[in-house]
Amino acid sequence: MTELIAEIPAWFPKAAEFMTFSPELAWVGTLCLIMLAPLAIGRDARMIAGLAVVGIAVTAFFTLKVMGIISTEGPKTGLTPDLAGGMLIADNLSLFFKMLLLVFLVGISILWMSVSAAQEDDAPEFFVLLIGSALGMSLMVSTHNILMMVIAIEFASLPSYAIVGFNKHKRISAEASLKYMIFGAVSAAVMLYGASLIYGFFGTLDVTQIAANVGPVLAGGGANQLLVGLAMFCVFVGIAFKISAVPFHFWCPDAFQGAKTEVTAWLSVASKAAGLLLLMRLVNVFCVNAGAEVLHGVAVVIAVIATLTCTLGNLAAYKQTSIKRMLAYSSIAHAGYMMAAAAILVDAGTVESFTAISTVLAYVVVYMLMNLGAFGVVALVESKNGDDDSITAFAGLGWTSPALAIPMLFCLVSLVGIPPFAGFITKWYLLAALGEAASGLYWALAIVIVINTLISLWYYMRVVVQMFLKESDKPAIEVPMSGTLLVNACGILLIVILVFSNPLKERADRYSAGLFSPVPTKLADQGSADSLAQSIPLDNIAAPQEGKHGG
Amino acid sequence: MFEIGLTHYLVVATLLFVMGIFVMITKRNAIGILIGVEMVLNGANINLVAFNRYNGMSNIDGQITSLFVIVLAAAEAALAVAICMNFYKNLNTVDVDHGDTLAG
Amino acid sequence: MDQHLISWIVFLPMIAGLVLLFVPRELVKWVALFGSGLAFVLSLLLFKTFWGGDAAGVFGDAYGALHHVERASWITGNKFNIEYFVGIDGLSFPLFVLTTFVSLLACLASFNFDSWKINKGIKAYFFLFLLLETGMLGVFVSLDFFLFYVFWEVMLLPMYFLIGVWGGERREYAAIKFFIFTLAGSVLMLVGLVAMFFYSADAVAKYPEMATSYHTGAPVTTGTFDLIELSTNDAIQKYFGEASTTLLNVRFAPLMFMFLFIGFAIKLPCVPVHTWLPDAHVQAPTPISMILAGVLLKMGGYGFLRLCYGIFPVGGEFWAGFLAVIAVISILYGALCAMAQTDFKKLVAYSSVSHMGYVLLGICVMTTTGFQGAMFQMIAHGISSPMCFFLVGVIYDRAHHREINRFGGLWLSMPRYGSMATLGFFASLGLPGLCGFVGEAYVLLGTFQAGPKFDWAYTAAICAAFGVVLTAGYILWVIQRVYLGSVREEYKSFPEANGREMLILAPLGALCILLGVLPKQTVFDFMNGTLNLLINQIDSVTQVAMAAAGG
Repeated sequence: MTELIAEIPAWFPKAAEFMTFSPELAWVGTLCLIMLAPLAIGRDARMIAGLAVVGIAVTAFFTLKVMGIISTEGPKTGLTPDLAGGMLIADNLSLFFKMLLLVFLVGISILWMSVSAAQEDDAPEFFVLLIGSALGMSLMVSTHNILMMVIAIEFASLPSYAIVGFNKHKRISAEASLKYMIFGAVSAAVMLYGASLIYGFFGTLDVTQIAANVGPVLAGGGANQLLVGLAMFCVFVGIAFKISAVPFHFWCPDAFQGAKTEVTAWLSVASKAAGLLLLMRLVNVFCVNAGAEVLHGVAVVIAVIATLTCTLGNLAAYKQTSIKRMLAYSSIAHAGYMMAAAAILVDAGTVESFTAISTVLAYVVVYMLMNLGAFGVVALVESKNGDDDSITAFAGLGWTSPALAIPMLFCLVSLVGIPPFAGFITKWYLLAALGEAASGLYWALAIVIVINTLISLWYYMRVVVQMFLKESDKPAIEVPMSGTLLVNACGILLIVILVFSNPLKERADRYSAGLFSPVPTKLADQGSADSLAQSIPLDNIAAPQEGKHGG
Repeated sequence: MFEIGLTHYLVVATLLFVMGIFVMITKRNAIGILIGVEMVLNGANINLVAFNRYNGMSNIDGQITSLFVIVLAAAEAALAVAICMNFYKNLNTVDVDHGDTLAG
Repeated sequence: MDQHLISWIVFLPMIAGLVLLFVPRELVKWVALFGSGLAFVLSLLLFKTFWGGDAAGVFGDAYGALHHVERASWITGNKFNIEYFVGIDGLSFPLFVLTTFVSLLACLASFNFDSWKINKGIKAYFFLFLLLETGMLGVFVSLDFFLFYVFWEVMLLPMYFLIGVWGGERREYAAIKFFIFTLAGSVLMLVGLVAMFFYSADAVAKYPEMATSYHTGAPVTTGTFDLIELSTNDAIQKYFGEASTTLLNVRFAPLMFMFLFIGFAIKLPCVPVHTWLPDAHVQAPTPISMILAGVLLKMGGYGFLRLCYGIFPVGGEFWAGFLAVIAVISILYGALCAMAQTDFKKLVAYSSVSHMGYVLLGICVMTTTGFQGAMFQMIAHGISSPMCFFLVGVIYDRAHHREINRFGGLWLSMPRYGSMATLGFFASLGLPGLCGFVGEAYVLLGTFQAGPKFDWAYTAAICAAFGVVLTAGYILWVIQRVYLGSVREEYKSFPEANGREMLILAPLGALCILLGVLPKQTVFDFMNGTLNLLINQIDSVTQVAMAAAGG
């Protein structure tokens, strides 16, 4: 008993660790604040939104502070006694993503205020769910540990299920949230089973340790290879669900169509970006440690999935009549493009791994602007025409409300990936990274991506046709100035980023360079990787070992 | 009498996994699908504890993880049932096949 | 001013376009006219540099002899250095001046905007028009491949709207067809862009001793996007031409040539990817047809010379026969289709297809005379074609239909217009003494001269010569049907061509005669230097390649 008390100071986080952990603490503080605020200041939507923005600003302040600490002292990890295998990581990538999420949250709040704040009774709950899912997503990108990964994915998903069904009285919201939730629960369960198998095989939860020992197993062949391969695939199922990679994308169009448009905007960028960056981090760790043949196989698999994802996303968007569904498929396609960068990462023979990550970071930033603008306009238009989200609702918008139509035009053309908009620059970075990797697989991927750019043109242009080439008798749409300013800012930023793209690229490079990468240690006291195989025969029962915590 | 070893636990867990997958795939009732999810999660839990117990207890990662998974499963179940109730209020059924307004 | 003359000329129209968004409606036309007029006047200043012949040998043996060069670093990624690199040489100078000239005339032709069938959004129209002019001017002076690509794509969106919003009955279809076809070519160019950069990096790494730049004098150590560098650097040309350089197991130079060729062939246009042209030309409003025919088609030819043949002459040699077949088919098929038309504008559109076939023929034989003929044909067509389209537009404004069989005796009811019409159509026909003749004659001559090099050359020349007969056939026939014959009652009251229309037709007519009578002083002198250097470059590279292949 006295042992336990004497140990408390050892594992309790020290002040420095608290500082590094402060963004998450501030985030949780914001959550609690918003949850408890109705007791003090009532449920007025604007007040709650303002409070949320204040909380986000405080969190952002702490994030910037920690960024400063990291840039001088290097990446940190912590929150377990085993410093090499800390559960949370604070390095440039995770902090940058936190900032991105916080900025995006502010954008979504502004959009929400101009669209739904007037008739929303449940503002505190909305913000709790929104900010809660954001926290989960930021945790997803900040970890090397399987347990933390699972917790974070669930933490990000559960509020998302609820927030998709936030319109309790609408049938499609209920249906969307049910489908999303069932799909997500199934994927999470499968992922957890796979994770448990991997833990069992390697005896550790830390991905770095696992990666150090996985090479010989996967190359070895036989039952071990099959088991570990299947288990890794099961874990990949969970991540692929978040990214909405084919064939785990079926939830995406339904969830996006049924949810409120601000929520769709949020999910389409944040959850996919979080999933992708988690994938990049895991793959980064793997490609440092595993062997060449294994890596090439995994690269091919990821490349094939990326190809299927973007092609299917682009083709399926053609028969959609609902603009939210169409943009959902477009987000699937863009997730496919970003996954192509993950394939580069895997076969990192000629490309330094940070090129691929910086490509994805730059893509995510621009993608956030494009989607915020596009979904923003959809939300603003929807709010004034009775929630009609069909493409024909945009008829004549270019002539009646050019202030909304022109940013929509910019965002849509940027989504195709045509100059003079930033979507082209990020696609260019992706193609340059693929070209730099310089093997047949990557040239094939490059050709697939440009062909998909061509394929995707028409379904985006359909909306443009409606807006500018069709007539309409409807009056101009009157929306709050904040919403119009938001989408116009997104549109203008897209052009500015094309002309001045160096700052973006420089930052992306900087923030993807200093990833936390601990030196893996051999699993000395857990036995070798074939301890599992040896214990399978019935009569060779392994006796429990006496550990430090015996008794 | 043979001793219960790691293999037995793993077999039970695998059975739970397979049965859970089967339930998830075949059930039309939303609550039924959730039961399948719980079965798989519990299979994972058994895996985690068994591996930790039989492959050396230098740390108790597996058991701690299983505690976390129990909590996650509970949270997920609570939320899932709430969503099912919302679905029921809107469509008067929990049959997932009836959710076909969003299609294509 | 002289320092940045090119940049000023390129961006002046866009600045004027931005300005006119804020002026009152009555002044919009005049601001636009001022913008394009000023650009034209400034471009005349360039004559000073080129008067007295295109000074060859400014950069030693490198083709280019660039003037008014401006370089600034634009996008610096991990490995690439994209520059804002513009300059003008004998290849781009005639086309540059042609662009400002035709744009000015098209702007004048748009002055009756208020009497058009669709006359909403005058500001949008003129803004897009000026933006298009900036894009076109930028394409001709960009010497950095990435910048070239950005300007190339910048043209797409304004052209789409100009056709799609203000065009004829099937304008939406024509606009999207134009967009999709051109984008299809562009995306292949994008793959070529990435590939050329990385392969040039490989080239200078493989042959560092040959990698000294001719036009900057410094050794080249990294990959480059500089078009002149890619064409003249010994190391890069050697590596590109080698049989061992492959991409996806296909020989590099022919593959890249084909990728780039497809993009430019769609623009030129060549049969069989010409189908967008009749639709786009017919449905577009008159000034836009003038620009499409007068300038945009020339970009295909310019792209051939600058990129395909400048950088991949080995590929040009590889595909020469195939290209010649396409060229001859374009000439004959275009002429036959023109003969079958009953829509006046469509006839002129198909005549453009036929005339641009000569351009391709002249280029693909890779002789000096052929190149000269091709370039001259581009300039000549750039004068006669806008003239013909404007002539059709004049009559369409009055009669509101374009059916040839319903016209008759227009020369008698509108003598001034009829005279200019005859002049324009004879120039299009290729009557000796007018501009159309010189180009065709030189192309045929050049094809004959290539007899020793290519054994199909004589046949191609004869077939192409037959195209002259067909051209005479349909043009004389249309002149007879429309302008000759007895006067019809319905056209007796048509007003004569007014001051504005004569202001547009007269300079074009004068140039038709001037270029036909004094081809050397007006066109050849300005471009021969660069063309000679280009041919020398091509010859030396192909000889090296042939020697290396042992042939």
